[in-house]
Amino acid sequence: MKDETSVLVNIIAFLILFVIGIYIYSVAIDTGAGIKITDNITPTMRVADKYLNKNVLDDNSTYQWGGTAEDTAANIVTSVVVDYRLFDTTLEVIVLFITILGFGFVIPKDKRKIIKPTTILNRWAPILMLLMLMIGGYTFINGHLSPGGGFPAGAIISTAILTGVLTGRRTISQKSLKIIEAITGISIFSIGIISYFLTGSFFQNFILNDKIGDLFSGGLIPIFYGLIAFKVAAELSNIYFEFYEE
Amino acid sequence: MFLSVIIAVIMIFGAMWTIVTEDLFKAIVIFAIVSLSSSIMFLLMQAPDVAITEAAIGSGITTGLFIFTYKKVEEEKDER
Repeated sequence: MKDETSVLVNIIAFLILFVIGIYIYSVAIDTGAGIKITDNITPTMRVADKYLNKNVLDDNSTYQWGGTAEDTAANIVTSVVVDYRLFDTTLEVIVLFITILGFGFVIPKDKRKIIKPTTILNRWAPILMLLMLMIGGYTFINGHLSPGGGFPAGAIISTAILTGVLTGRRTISQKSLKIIEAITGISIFSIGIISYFLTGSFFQNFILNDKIGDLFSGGLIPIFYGLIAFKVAAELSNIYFEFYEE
Repeated sequence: MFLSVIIAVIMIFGAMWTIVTEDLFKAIVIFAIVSLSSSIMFLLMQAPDVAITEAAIGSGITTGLFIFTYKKVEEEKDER
């Protein structure tokens, strides 16, 4: 009985894999308008060529909205990560969420004693926490202008909570962390669905025509980065509280 | 140029030391040094985005989680 069900599960898994394989193959040889994966023999078909021929260093050049996605942010890496590859980041965040679910099962919830920290750490912890929060906020607010982004910003914000955990302070409760995580996760995907109905594809930027290089530019990029930063920070902080739950 | 060579040598020796050393805590600290120097390496290779991520996750959070785990392992050793 048990063997029959496992054989059935294996057949279903193979069918799903087969469908995914057909999907990947059809994307790879698709002769649409986009850039194909298998057909990059000619250099002009590659993505890298598009970036190599992009020139913004000329003094006389006036930067105009060219209608392509990489014109939204001053930082070219950000525009690639958010405008083209936001699915990667959102699915990474989901992988992190599943990891934290696993933490709850593996780590036994017994009583742990918190060792009292030294005076230096105890006094300096609030100052360090404020500093880390400020750097993290700067990283995701300025993510479309300077190097940075949602994922490292979330990691830096969670280091503030790590400092609090090391000194034995309960800065934020686990319930509010879960609420923050749920709200940010729902809003990322609801903004994606809204942009699907407005523009026709998921996670496409629909706030356009603002001056490049301003703080309030880049359309949806700072919003997505803020949401991703808070989601990552909540998830990583959950790990620390799993280790140090009273 | 010289700086990148020095950092590469530090990284290689640190990685070897991490594997060879007997003390777990020493291995964790040297691993943190390796990932911090790799973040400087990313900065020298003109990839500041990756450098920020490496400095935050590689040398900050990973080291913190390793130290938590080390503490738990030591506690379990004491109980036995």
